[in-house]
Amino acid sequence: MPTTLKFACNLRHGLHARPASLIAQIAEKSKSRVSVRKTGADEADARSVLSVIALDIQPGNPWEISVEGGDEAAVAKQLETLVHSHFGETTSDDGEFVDAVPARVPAALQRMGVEVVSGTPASRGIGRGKLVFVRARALSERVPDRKSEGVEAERARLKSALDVAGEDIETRMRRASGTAADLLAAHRIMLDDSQLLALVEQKIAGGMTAECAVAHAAEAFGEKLRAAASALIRERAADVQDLAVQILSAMGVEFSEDAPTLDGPSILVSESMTPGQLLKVDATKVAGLVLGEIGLTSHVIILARSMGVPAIVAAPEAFLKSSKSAPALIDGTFGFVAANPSAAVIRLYDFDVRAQTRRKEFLASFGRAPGKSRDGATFEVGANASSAADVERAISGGADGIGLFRTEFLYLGRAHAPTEEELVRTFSAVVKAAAGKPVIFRTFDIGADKPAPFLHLAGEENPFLGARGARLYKKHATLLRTQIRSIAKAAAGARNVKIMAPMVTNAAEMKWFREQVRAAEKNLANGGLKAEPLQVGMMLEIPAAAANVRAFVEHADFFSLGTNDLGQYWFAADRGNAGVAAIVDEMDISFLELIRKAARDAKEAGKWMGMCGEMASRAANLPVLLGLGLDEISIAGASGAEVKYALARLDREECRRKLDEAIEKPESVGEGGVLSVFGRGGAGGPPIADELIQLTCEATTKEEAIREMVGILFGAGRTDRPGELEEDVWAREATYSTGLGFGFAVPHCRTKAVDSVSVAVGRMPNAIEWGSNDGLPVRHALLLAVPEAIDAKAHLQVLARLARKLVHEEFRGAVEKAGDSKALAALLKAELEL
Amino acid sequence: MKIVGVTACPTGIAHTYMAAENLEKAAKAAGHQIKMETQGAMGIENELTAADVKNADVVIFAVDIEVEKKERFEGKKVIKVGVTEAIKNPNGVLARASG
Repeated sequence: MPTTLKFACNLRHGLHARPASLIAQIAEKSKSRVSVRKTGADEADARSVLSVIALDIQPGNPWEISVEGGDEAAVAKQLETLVHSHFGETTSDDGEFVDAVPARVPAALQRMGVEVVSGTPASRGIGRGKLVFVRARALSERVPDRKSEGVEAERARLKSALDVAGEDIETRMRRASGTAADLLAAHRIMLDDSQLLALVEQKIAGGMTAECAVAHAAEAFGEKLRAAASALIRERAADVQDLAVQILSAMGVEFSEDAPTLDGPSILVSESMTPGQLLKVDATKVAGLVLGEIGLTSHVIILARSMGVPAIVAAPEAFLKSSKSAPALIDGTFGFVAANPSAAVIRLYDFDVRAQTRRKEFLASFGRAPGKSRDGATFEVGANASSAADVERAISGGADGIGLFRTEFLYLGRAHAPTEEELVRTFSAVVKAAAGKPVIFRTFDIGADKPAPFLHLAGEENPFLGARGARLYKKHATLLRTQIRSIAKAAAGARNVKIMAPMVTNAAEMKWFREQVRAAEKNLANGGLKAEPLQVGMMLEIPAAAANVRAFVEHADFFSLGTNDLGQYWFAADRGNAGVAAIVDEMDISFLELIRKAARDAKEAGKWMGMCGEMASRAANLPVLLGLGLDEISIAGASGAEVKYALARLDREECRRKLDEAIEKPESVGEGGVLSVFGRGGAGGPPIADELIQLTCEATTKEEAIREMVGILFGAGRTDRPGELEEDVWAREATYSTGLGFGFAVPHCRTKAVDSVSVAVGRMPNAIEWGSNDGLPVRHALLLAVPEAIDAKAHLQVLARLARKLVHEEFRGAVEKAGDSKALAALLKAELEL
Repeated sequence: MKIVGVTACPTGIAHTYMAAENLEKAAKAAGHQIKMETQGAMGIENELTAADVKNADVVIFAVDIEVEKKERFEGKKVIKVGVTEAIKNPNGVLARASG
């Protein structure tokens, strides 16, 4: 009887390529027969990623894994742990379009009578460039027409092409980072897909040439995937196509027409596109993508988003086939492309380009300076990383350092331990990429859901409560010493390199770990390597340790809270088990009190404390994190500058006071939980501020004036959805002109696109026709954006006050006389009582 | 002269208040007593009491929409103008009211 494991699928995108590839990795190494099925449907061989994803297991579907054979029990246990670890997926939403939103045409363009071609918004942003049409032809039409040289010769041809393609993908994988690297890793696994290869072999045996066999097998597989109910799985057909292209290229088939050479900013237009095609063209010249029936979760779209390339899909067939090259404008947020834009349209979008530049400079200014709260308290914003490329992106994204460098990837899923040389090379690249900023290397955290085959770890009844992290170190001391030595070597000559142990339970473990570090340093010093001693720290992941920081201060120079594990141990609930995951509540008073105490104990001993779990990465948590008294948070991704900007709007003392009150008097916290005590987004700056005033606006029309002023708010960080804000302004404008006469206009709206009341003020040297009652053109415009969440009354009062002031010539004269933005800001603040 | 009145425009955001402010300014400059009620998006503000209405010599409606609680003004002399006129030419409106 096979062992059958039953689950309910709780992955947001269903059982897609990545989880399927993790199952396949375990199945590959097993001596047992492993199969996967959607309950009640046909089964698939677990070693074939493509067959497993073609099962189309959707969120909520019951599904099962069967294991039968020699190592049945151990393999079943491994698979169960993998599924329960949620396949390592986070539940965070990337805020991008997951469900299709309809295409819209901005009100400004409608008013200007601009003709556009609409398509479903797929990747945000605006781009300008020449339309470049890329033709898509079936693979089977592109392979050379030749006769089979016999089964053996064709097989050999296939084998060597697979080797070349595999090496090629691996080489590019090492050079790539982020999404592109993940994608290539998925392709690398799919290249070994047993079902796909079996189909190719079968076709070769039937007398086809290797090229023909690959093309036909890929097309047949693509058909199967395209028939799936899940869009996510249908979209994998493009990845299969990519793989086939890789293999066929290795056989000498020409695909250069797929990735044309671009001679300037270009908007690529094609009915279909694979991620491989996008990776091959010169990324710096791609201004946008206009595609046919391609899903929003396809790899090519995910890649476009990560590259910041605007994209629309489901564009009309007539346009895709038109092939008339022309200059064009694409808007991936609204979902349209406009060919041959008029001078007026170009002028209008020039305002976006300028606002974008100001926005970048504005955010970069936060990224360059150390993280600070509004009241001037230092709060480091670090980043988590697991490759030198991650480190580089995080630092250039404004991180103050690397709060967690994970080293497991050097060990996981490998047959042999990495050599010291490989480790030193990897760690040196990391130190270099950090460019003098601090880096905390966490020594390998293996065990539980992170298996390393070469360690031959014994199967455990409950791996999360078993030998993992630092608990394995004494037994595998050589492995640890090699790693410590490698880190110390990489750190020589650099400052700010630190080392940290995971899953430390008691002081004895930490004392021993510290001794290992010091011993390694001593050895290296004896060998002539001169270096500062590394700071030695520990993760706080076990409640017994977090509750007793004082026991560790003698042995640890610093601490970092690993809230993922700390949370699941504190609440005794597996975060990967959908049935109980919700029990882990990072905002629970008991958990916050535990962390606050740990931070206070560290502070008392003069020790630094950071946090590197997912709790630190959630933007909404920032006021709580600041109030907890931490020295640092280390976040996922490269958004350090954005986080620092959010930080600059928060007051640490206020956050601390509110958090303390919530902890001391839990009954005072309402139904919205602790976060609701802090309000949304913190204080967004005063409604009227110097940086929101522009006395030399360039607008010549009402459309331009509104876009220019929305751009002022975007450039100064008051909104991150300028398109939405502009539409809300126009919606209000449609009911009644906001031209009040006397040369003043007050375009305004309540909107979800701002967090705090913000007034952009523009002086228009080119008088703007606004449809005012008195027929006079507008000289001064005040664009008032009010958050939808706040009481409308405050906003109406400001407008009423302004309206009353306008009647008075003295007020109008004073506005006109204000010589700079500072003076005008002061005048408006006083007169409008803001 | 004692003047009371009501201003109201369709959106009740700005013109209602500009009209009220302008009439108040012009009336005070001409030495009249004036109290203007605004019926805008924030509801009725500076509401006229029965005594205000009773003591007034004339009522000015500077409105583009129906006046609320109109029954308060039954039997009074009422001058009705548009909101824009009150903003553009408050003295003209006052002249009509005193005529």
